[in-house]
Amino acid sequence: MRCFKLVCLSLTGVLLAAVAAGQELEKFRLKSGGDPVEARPVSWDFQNGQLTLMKADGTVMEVAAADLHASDMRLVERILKKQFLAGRKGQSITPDADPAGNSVDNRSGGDVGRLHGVRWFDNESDAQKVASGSDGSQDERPLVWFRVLGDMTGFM
Amino acid sequence: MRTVSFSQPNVCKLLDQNFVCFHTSTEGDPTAGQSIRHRPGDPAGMCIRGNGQQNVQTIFLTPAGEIFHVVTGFASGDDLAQELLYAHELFGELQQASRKPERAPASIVADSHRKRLANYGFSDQQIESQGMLLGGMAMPDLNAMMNPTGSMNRGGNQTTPAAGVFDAMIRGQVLADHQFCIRNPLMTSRQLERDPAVLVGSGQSFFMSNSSGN
Repeated sequence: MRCFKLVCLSLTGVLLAAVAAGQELEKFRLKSGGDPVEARPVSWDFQNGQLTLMKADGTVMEVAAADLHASDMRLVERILKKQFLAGRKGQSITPDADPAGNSVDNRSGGDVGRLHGVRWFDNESDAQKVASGSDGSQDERPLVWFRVLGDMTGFM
Repeated sequence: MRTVSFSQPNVCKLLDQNFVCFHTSTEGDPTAGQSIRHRPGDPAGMCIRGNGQQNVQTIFLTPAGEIFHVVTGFASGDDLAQELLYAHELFGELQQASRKPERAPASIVADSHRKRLANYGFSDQQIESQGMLLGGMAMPDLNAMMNPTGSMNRGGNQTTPAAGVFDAMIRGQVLADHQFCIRNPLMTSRQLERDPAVLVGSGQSFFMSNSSGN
């Protein structure tokens, strides 16, 4: 476990990571009790300790990683480890299809995840859909385009 | 910027509530500079406003993809927050104008940038001057260097000649960013991608920041 954390932090140094498409649902138990949450991990903000889970119906919930049972966090880590080892650089780190069969465009607009709690897209087209309000989420908003030499989620 | 500016709470709040964010990589772009690569968790090095202008650009667009404000190079969290507030306000003006079409949106953008530069103490002559980009870096505002008033570096006061030089460099970069918007109001993102040199120059620059890790 400790070794894996070190690998994650030293080799990738990521703040954000997520599982790939087609990940099966898992049952996660909160320390506070109640029924297990059937979902799959979408992203894990290492810095803030926030885990984002997506339920079967496509709804997203955020939980503190510390609130999950240790064994369940190990499961999350295994999933992430698998993802890292797959080494799929540059891909979207949001699942491209959800269990309800919605496309990523309809559901999340192809966002790549959150950085310091802010949602970032990896292309203008998907961001424009949200900015124009065509996804029904909000009124028109301007776009912030961070044009950078390198990978926003990796080396830059 | 990823480590410092984008993590500042007021910046996060402004970005989350008022903007939709996306990023692209300029890898392979001939106008992109060069730099030492950093991982997300690496400690941030020291930068001043405008450093690495060929490496990072923060560009504000309408939902239709028209550019109405740019910030090239590094911007601290405080500076970025100011730019976000300015962009939010200017976008509001553009939205209002779309309901009252007596003013052309492009002129609203250009006039807003002229007004902002005037508020920073730039003269009309400086605002309308032909800027020069050397290796992607704007020429320092020599007038400001000789007459250091109106510091734009929010990090501290000007007390030394060196501070005056840095402030002149910052002012030169800020002037160049605003001049871009005055001369190219509502340029589309596609137009910029076809010729990024119009914003960042066509020279080659190398950007490096370092940190002791403390």
